[in-house]
Amino acid sequence: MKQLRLSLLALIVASFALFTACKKSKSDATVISVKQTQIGALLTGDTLCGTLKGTMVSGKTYIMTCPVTVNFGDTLLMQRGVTIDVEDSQAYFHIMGVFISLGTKDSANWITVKSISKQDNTNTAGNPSLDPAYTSQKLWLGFSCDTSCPLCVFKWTHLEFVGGTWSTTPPMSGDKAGSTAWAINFTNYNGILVFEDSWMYGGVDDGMRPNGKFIIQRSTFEKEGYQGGDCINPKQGGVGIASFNMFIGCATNGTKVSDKGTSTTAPVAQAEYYNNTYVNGGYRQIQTGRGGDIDYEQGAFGHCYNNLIADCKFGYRIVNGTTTIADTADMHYGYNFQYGDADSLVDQFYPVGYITIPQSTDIPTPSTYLPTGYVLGATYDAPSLVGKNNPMFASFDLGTSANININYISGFDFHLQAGSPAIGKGYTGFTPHVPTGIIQDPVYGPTYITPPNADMGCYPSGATGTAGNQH
Amino acid sequence: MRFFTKIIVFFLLFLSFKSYAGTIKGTVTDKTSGEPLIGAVVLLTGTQYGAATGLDGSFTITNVPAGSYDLEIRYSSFETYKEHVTLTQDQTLNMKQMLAPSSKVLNEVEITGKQKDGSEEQGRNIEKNSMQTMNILSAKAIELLPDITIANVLQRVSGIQLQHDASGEARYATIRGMDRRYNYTEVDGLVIPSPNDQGRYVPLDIFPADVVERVEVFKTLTPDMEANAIGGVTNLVMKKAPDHFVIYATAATGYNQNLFDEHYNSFPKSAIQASDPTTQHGPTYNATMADFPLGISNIKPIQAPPNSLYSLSIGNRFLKNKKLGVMLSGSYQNTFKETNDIFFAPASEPGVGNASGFDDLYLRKYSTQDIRSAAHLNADYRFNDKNSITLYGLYTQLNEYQERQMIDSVLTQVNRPAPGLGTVDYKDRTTFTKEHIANVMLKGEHLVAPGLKLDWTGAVSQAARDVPDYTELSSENQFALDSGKIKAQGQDLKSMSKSWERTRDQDLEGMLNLTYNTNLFNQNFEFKAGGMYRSKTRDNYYNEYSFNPQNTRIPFTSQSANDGSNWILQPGDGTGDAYANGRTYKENEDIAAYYAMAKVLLLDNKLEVLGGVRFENTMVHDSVDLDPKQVAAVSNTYNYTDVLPGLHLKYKLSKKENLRFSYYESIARPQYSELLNNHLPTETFTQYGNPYLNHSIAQNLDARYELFPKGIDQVLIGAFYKVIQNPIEYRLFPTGTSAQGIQPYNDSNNATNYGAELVVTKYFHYFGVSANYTYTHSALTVPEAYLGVNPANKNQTQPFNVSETRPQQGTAANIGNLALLYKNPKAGFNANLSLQYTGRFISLASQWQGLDYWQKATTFLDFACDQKIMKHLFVYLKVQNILNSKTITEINESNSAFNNPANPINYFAYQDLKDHKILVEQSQTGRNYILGLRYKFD
Repeated sequence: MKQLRLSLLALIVASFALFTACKKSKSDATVISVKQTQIGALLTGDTLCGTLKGTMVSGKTYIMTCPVTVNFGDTLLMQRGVTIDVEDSQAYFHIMGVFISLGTKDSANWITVKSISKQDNTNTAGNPSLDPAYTSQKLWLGFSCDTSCPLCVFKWTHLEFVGGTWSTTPPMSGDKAGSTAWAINFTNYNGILVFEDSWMYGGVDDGMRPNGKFIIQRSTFEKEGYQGGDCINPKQGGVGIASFNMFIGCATNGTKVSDKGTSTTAPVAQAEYYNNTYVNGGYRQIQTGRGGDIDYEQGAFGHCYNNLIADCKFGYRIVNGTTTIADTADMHYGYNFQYGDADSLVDQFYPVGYITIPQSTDIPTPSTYLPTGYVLGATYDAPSLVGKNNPMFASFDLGTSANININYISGFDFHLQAGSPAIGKGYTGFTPHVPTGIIQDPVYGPTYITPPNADMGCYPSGATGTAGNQH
Repeated sequence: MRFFTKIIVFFLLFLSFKSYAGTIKGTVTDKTSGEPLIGAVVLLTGTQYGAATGLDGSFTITNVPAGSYDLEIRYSSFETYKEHVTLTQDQTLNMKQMLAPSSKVLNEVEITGKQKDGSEEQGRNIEKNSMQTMNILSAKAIELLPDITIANVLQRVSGIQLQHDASGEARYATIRGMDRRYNYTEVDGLVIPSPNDQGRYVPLDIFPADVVERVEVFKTLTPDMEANAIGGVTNLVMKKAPDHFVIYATAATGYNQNLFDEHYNSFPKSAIQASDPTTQHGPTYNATMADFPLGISNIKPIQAPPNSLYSLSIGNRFLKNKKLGVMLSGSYQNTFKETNDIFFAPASEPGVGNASGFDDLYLRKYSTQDIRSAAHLNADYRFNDKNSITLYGLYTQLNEYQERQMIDSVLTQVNRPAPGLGTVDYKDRTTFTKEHIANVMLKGEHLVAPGLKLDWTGAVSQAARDVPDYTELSSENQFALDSGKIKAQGQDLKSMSKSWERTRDQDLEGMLNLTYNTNLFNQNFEFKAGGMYRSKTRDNYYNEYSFNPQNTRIPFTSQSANDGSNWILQPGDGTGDAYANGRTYKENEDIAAYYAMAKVLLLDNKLEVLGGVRFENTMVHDSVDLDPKQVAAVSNTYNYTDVLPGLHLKYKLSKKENLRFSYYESIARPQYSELLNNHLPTETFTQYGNPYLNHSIAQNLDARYELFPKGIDQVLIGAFYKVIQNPIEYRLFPTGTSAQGIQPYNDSNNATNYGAELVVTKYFHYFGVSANYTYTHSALTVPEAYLGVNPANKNQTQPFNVSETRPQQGTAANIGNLALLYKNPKAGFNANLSLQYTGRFISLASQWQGLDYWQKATTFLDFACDQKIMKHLFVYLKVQNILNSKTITEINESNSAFNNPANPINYFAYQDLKDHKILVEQSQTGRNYILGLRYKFD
């Protein structure tokens, strides 16, 4: 009895001590747990395979063992802190209904292949054929969002190692057996795709084809494309915004848009590409001239401002040509910042052969280096630009072309240091076109559509929360 | 010198004694048929005077001194005719002599003894007496043609044009403007399976020209024929047992002109990997580079390899009363050729106003070796004059080795900033294709009761095609600006793919016909009824592996390309994709048909009326190796029955004139792979299946006037009208966003084809002219797209739906043939100059208005001749494509956008001919020469 009393006392003392300890480390705000969003029933079991609907439970790891179908009218939802480990290289999500992944800043979601270990080092950067992000046999087939898919949302979600080869005929047109999978193939031009505060890592071809209404913001794209491929590549029907994204080491462009397609009903492709940071883009694309950051082609148009481009193989490009000319009359661009560490790069700030009109608001100022009587697309030589206007990244060595192979972000920080020439030079006097029908929502839409910022690139100085890229 | 003297003396005699000499003229005809006999020898025995009859059976012996002579007329298989004639000075003796078939020919074979099998006369007679509208080319005619395959031969037939494959080989026939899909091929009246991996059409170049007795082309169908033809039917009648010992042999060599001008590229045949790792080790086997020995891409140039062609036919009849007849034929052809091809690959979408654009320029060179071999046996046994059976066996094989070099220059401005800049891909491909058709057929004919005839056929056929180790190797070079100068970045390995394909097609078939002849109401009736059943099983296996280079920058050399350590299998590709690509498929097709028809002779036997109906049931089940839960339309069954009436009238205007009229309905089934939910790469575009295709149904009207003035002369004037419901065409369409594919689809509207046909054949002693011409009007209205300006925003473009009326794909409005023949039996010299004209036609339809691909009109001129050098031995020469004609495909728009010097980025090579249309493809195979010896004993 005495012993019991002693134990009880000890327990009370210990609890008190613990309580005070907690109180010490945390603020004194009351925390009342919030029920997480749940749709339909909770998924039972640990494997994903076949036709599914309902909710994946927070904190759990699911093994994906075969293709998953979400039927029209059904929803598949990931609560925060869910990991999907894809262990079948022929697995994919066929989304005919709704897919929502609700990761949070503190508790992100992962859709990855656990058995691939990331190789983020200069050795694999120098020889991409050694990098499993491009050549692993385990790369899978990603998200096929069908023409009936009304909504597909990724928040704080890592989407990794997509890029397997379709050995079967894919469920949707636009891709075929034998071709390489894109991480997201979104094909409903009336549907909505949200990809925010998320990450995309690795891949063999394009990262996503958002051929619907899209909001892609504050995300990070690494190592996209093996010997070709763009991170974000909307075609006809694709209308939306991609901004405050960080692109590093893309095979070709970070953001491209083209109105290719023959539908008489789908809208013309329109892309608002502003306040993105592009570093080391365009080197693994073995075809020449295809771009390294931003590209507008074939009937497409949009606003393109405040982008920060460093050491990309080609500058931002507007394409001409009988069948490939962009809708130049509806293009609005300028205030884009370009930096290069080699003569071959600075001589392509306005890519040779194309029709990007040099804007006086661009940095460096075109009139300071282009010859008088410059004709659009003509060759020019501006060796003085090499290393000029260093944007002063917080932690990444510019000033040497030795780093242009770096295609990963870990260990680096691309925030701007105080005094960066990219700070405050941007343009906020335009209103990005938000596709009709998109509403900001914590679950069913973009959390917040970040407007343009006068600090160029995706990391505005002093920005907090959703005002900039939070990675 | 003595020869020279002889000639002078001859001329002196001719000049001085002309008035003292006489002439013997005449014609020699067949006593039973009244047909002229060509090449009969007319001799004045014991003198040097003599002649041989010409193409119209006529002969002339001139400068015969007055006197008495023993005249002899000899012709093989016919009784020799002898007559004593007396000729006076200046007299012209006119003779009309008929020869009777030799009496040593027995009763049973008399039927075949009337006319020699394979002779022109026989062919003409079948044409004349048939109830169908048909054209025939006999072995005799074929021998004189410059052609070495049946496909070449067919283009001499009225109303036929040939579809060529990428290497310039003529393979499939278009009859009266109806694409190959609307026609079928028979061997001795039996539909044979095709080794083709996709379709039912039989590649006609697999048959060497010298194994057939004749080629029949039916342009109308009677109810006793299979209904799967809207254009027509090609029937190859194989050589039959003759009535006495015969032997034919040929040996020839030759060259393709292009191979004198350039190298022939060969690849090591020993490096062909016969089977893929999945076949060797099972579907779960995970292959590594060690499973692929490589080495096949080691290309070696050879200087002008010669062709060799041999054939041998032996036939005889054996046993008592010559009951058993045997004909054995074999043929071997080993030919080399080179084809050069230029192709502008279209942009998947045009510019505003449907302005053409191009993505790529391909320069392709094909080095092709074809080894064709064929053997066939025809044995018949005649129990008595009421019962006989025939055993028939055919094996024909084509081994094709092809090396293709391709330089692919990118043209789209997206990755070609300026002229001279951009990407150039090099795609070397090595292909070995082995095809064969084997067929065993047993036929019987029985006269079961007076007037009642029963005939039956049982057959097993197999067709197979193997394409092992199909290897395409790509390397790439970049031309980029370097310090203001264009600099090649170096040709590096880019990718490699290897595939293995096997097609097996097997038919089991039975056919039974009953014919009853009787007299009802004082009219001669013939009733015929019967049925057939054919069960087909088809199996296709396809597996593909893709490889990437180990490193991004490995310079291309023939060593590096064939070194396995430079390559890795594409991620996930170790198990191949045989059971996931949709090209591994199975198909069963069961066709059951029965018919009844009656023929009656009316109006003093002048009017023949044939009427009847055919029921044809088609049951198809196909499946591809894909998961039906994941992919639609992977396991499909089709079942349909067609009821097809037919009425055929033939009115004998006179003994030499016929008037024909036909109405019949027929169908065209889709090709096997067209119904599958899959896609497969073809030479230029990826081809997609369409499981929702319907079969085409046609109503056909046909009329023809025929005149057979004398001999083998003829005049045929015909007209036809066809309405085709659910016509099937191939259309270019965008696949995904940047590629284009082709897909078969049913046009929503009916196609209407009508036209007229004229055939004239006329012989003047040693000369002959044969001409035919076909006009086809074809019209079809289809929905298409037009890229215009968006009315809401003038800066933007938008596709609009429009419709276009145009000819059906593959239908040329004008087709013609002209052949000049010279045949001098006395000198032993024959010659044939043939001209073949095909007017322009749509080779591929585009979904974009006005951007269809038109193949330009082509004219091919060929020559053949042979000269007798001693008894039974001839030397012959064939020259194909004397004019060195090219096949050119165009888009019907001016090419001025591509040759304006002010716009250098759009200034393309090969588009620089002013005032021309936009060039899409130009293909050139060059002349072919064949020189050979023919031995003939009969």
